[in-house]
Amino acid sequence: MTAFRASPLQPRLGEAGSEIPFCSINPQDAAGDPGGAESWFMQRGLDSQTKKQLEEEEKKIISEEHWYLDLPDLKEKESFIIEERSFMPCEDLLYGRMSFKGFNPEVEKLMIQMNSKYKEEEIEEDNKMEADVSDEEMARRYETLVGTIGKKFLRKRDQRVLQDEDEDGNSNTRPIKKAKKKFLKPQD
Amino acid sequence: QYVPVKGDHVIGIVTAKTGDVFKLDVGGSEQASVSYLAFEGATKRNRPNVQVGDLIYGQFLVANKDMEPEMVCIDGSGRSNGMGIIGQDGFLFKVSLGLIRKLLAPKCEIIQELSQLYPFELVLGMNGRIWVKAKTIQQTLILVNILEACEYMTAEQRKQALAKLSGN
Repeated sequence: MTAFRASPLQPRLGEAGSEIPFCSINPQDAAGDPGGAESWFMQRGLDSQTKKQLEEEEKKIISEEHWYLDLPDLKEKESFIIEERSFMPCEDLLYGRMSFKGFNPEVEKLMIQMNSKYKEEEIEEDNKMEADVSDEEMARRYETLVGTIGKKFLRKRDQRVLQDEDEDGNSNTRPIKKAKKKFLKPQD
Repeated sequence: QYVPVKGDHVIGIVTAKTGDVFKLDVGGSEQASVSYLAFEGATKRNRPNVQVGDLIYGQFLVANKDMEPEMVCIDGSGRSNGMGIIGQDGFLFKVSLGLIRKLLAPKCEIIQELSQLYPFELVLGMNGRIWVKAKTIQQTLILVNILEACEYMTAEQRKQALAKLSGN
């Protein structure tokens, strides 16, 4: 029994959601179809392969219908004329806001900024922002920071050692011996 | 007549305030629109305090013959760079576009000479509008008169006029 298949140019029935199930009365026929893994009664619409075939056919037909010119490609001539509607780049005009003799200090700062852009072609601004904290302070902070976070990960015995160190003030002699308490074998 | 051009800095007068958008008169054939979010530090909750009749210094974001011109008061990186609402007091007047170009040229004698007189503030819009503010009203008006007359005076006449003023 042949299954019902839509022809390419007619509206395709059997697309997703269509009500016409792809079925044949003889289940064996459907089982022998190319999309073998899909069971015949679950298949709505056409197989993926047949879909692809149909799409290709449709595309061929459509592209054949399109008209195209047989003329050779014209080379684009490079034009030396650029159209520019604004006056700004033509005459290197200054920035429009100006202030003189300290009438508006912010505008005066702006004037220096904006006009320097034109003259010196993008001065690389100093990336050093005015720091709230100086470099020295940062270095000091980090020194102590490393110590405090390091303490966090010490084991309890080592922490006791550190406390002793702080109290004594000497870091060399005794604490080292105390730190490594080895396992003493119980004497029989 | 001024033709809006993208990137040009102009002075606009707020004519209408409709919801989220202000209409600005820019001196062109159409009114320009500014969104309230186009100001520095503006958020939906923190709206700029713009009233009808305010002066705004901004640049054109969109300006072609097919669309209504749009302005913004911030640049690409979100900073205002001097744009925004122009403050209280001061005097706005119109001059020809050619004079503006002359005044904005890198070494403009007029501006240099004027800056020797007394402290003042100046905003030049490419649409032919100039806003001046000085300490007293009289000084402001003197500046206005000089700038308007500059177009037709020769350099000598100008220097004479300024000499008289600085003498006074």
